Amino acid sequence: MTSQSSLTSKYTTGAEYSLTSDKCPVVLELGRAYTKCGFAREPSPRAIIPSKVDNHEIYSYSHSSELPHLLQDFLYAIYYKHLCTNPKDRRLVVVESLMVPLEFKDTLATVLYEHFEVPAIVFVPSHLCTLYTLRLNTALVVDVGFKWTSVLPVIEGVCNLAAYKDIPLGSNEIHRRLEKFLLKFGSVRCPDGQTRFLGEVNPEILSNEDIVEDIKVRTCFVTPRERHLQAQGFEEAFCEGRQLELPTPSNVQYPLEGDKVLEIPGTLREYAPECLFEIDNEMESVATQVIDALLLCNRDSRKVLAENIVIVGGTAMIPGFRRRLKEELMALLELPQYKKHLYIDKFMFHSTPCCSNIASWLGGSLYGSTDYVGSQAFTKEQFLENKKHIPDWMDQKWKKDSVPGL
Amino acid sequence: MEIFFPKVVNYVCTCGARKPLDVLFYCKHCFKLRCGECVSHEVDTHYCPNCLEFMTSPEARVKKNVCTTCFECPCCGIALYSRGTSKQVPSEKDPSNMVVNKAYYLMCNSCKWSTHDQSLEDQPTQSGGWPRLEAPNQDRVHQLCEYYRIVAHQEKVEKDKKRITQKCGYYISDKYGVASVAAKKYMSLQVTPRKESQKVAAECFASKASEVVDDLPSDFLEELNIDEVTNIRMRLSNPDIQPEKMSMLKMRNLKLLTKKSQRCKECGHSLRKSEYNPGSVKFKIQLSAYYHIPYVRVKQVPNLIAGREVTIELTLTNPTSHEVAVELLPMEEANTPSGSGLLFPEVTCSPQLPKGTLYLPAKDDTAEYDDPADKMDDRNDKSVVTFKRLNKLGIKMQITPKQAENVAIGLRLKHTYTNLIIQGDKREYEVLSLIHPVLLNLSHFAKNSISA
Ligand SMILES: Nc1ncnc2c1ncn2[C@@H]1O[C@H](COP(=O)(O)OP(=O)(O)OP(=O)(O)O)[C@@H](O)[C@H]1O
Ligand SMILES: [Mg+2]
Repeated sequence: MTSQSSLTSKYTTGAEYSLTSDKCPVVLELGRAYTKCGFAREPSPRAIIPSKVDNHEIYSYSHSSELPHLLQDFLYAIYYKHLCTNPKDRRLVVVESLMVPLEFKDTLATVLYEHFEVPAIVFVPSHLCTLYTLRLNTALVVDVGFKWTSVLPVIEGVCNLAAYKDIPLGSNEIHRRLEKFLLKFGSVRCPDGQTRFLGEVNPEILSNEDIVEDIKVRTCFVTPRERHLQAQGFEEAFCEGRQLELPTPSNVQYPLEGDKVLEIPGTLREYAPECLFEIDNEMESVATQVIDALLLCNRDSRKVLAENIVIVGGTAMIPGFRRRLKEELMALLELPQYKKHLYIDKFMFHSTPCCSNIASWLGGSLYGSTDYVGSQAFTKEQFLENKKHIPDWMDQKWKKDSVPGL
Repeated sequence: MEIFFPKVVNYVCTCGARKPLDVLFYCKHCFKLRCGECVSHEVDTHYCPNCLEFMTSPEARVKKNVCTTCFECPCCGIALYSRGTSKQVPSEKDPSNMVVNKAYYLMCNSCKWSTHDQSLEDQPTQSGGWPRLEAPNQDRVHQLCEYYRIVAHQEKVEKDKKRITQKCGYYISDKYGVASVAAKKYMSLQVTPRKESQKVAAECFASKASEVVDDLPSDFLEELNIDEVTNIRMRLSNPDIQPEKMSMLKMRNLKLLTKKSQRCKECGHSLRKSEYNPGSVKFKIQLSAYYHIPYVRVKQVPNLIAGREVTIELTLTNPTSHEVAVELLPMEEANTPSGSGLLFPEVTCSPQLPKGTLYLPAKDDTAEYDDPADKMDDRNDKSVVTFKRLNKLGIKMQITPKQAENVAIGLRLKHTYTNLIIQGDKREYEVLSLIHPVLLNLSHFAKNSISA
């Protein structure tokens, strides 16, 4: 949305906010795939960048001694290239995922305090701060991220950790499936006019994660449950080259390496994201995680949670994802093992005031605009006193007052 | 600079990092080497990489670190260029008369994206009043902000009130003036949030859940032209909308770049400060080690064979305008629990270092045009020195590699440093002695010379 002048907007725009409170804290979310960085009070991050330094992912380090260097280089780029601000000048809000290992967090804090001399840092759990964007204090937060899908019920501003569920399903899984099937079935039209399988032309090419991701982002969609049911036994049919009775999505001509064209089978475009919803050997999928989390909550709160579901994370931005998740949840409700226990008849969803991959960042931005940062941030002195540990937010202390305002 | 120091010779920084001399700083106040990792960086000034407009930090902060006149291409991220068009249009006064109407639009020189793709009207002036991109959700975010700020404020007031009333009850007769301090604090808490904030916050409703969710677009089976879909980079470069279709792309203001200055963390003095003018590449302060510390380079390494003694040739150069006396000392040994070992595990071979002091003449910029007949300095050991030219000295030494691969030697470069002290009108020189560990990777050099 653009407007000729900021006056047409109902309230003062972001530019003037920064005038009044000039040194808003920095808000940082280090995701497995993408890092979001920006300033508190602003409606969106200044930059979303891959969580990588020179093609090296910051979360996949082989030895813990590498991590400080990786983080140093990465944070340098964030502060000086993307945010253009001195780390010393501003407090920092880190939106952290529950999955992040403690070692990572402590190293991050050490680098921030000692190398960058950040005056104070506060870590906020990503699921929790998502609720700030909705002005809610009770919701079931479903984060469909890069490697994991995690579900956490928050009741009256308190995380119900006992009902936390996660499963290694996310974009990464879709990428792996795309890679596997493209190598087998993707045909490439070479400059000499011949058509060969991708596996014969250049089997290495898909090890470049960017190409697989690009194919996913630009061509894949989550098919409705109805089609999924009709296409049962899809994989066998696909492998045997049989045509299904169903009308198939169109194939896509994808330019490759400048001079070749990769034909992406239309069926693969809908089949790859299916991995999120297929029931695996342990009888689990993204949808079962949601139901299981509900079952782990006490009976009184199940209904209100089911009617306040918040979906965040970039993987949920694949077209059709929400519709399918809802359909799957409704279908699971019909199963006898769930129907007896759940006592709910519908699911209701919130939509965040921003794209879902930046929802938790926005929560951090809202949190960062309040006085809570001042009272809850951990200063360098406290950090050193605490033997270079950031108190785990699951500690009792956090449970009591980490959910201000909700 | 890589061509001068192709990562063969690394100096050990005070923080332990191994760096070539050209990237190191030399703090004139602590007399120590510093590197990019152990100094503090500061953002000095901001400038636009396209129009080179210069801005101070507060101004850039208000403008959200973007240039107000330049825009970037939403496809490839480079700066857009202004193009003029002229159209014959009927004049307003006299419709029968045609006049030339000039208009300007922006276009990307690389991918040919233009403001027409975003259906923006052409502007009458070259640096036209293009609309600034605004977040569609900024009103809602503003409401939420004010709402939670007030909640947080009230909570704080409550907490402090409790604390203060407890305290006040305790210090009823106030001998030490504590109560008055507390009372002042109490007063400050009475400050209520501004009226406007309260009004905005009052409009902030809780989100309503709905059973309806975003559906899959109904044309999902239809033909998909990959060129009409944006890639992830384009989406993420506009976090507010993250457009999926090329037709929905919107240009954004160009991001500013910064000039940084470096400061010693220990003494706080500036190590490098550039000039404000973004067009200038000069420095106001530049304490690069390259200008102060003698540099060691490898001149010649024969083929390295395990167990065979060979002679290598190094050069030493004095970059300062004072004579420098250099001594090459062996690496220190550290007492590790398992006996004594070198402090630097990468060193695989110890050289037979020349004993005694070598004198390097001062750098003289005018001397380069003089007669190159260089006299040897009698103080230098002739069996060690291979040549001398101006402020440069060649020296040789023997090494016996234990292996053919990864031959690295280490030495401690001890040299004099002439420090100028200015006190009022008095100028005094003080000669200090500094030591820097230096690591030389000879294999790298030997391989290069074979292939060359
Ligand atoms: N606008 C978008 N359109 C389509 N796909 C997107 C979009 N934004 C992100 N994605 C996809 O979502 C995936 C996850 O992105 P996200 O930013 O949620 O990851 P993350 O937060 O780093 O992961 P995690 O939460 O697991 O740490 C990415 O692999 C990306 O391909
Ligand atoms: Mg995430």
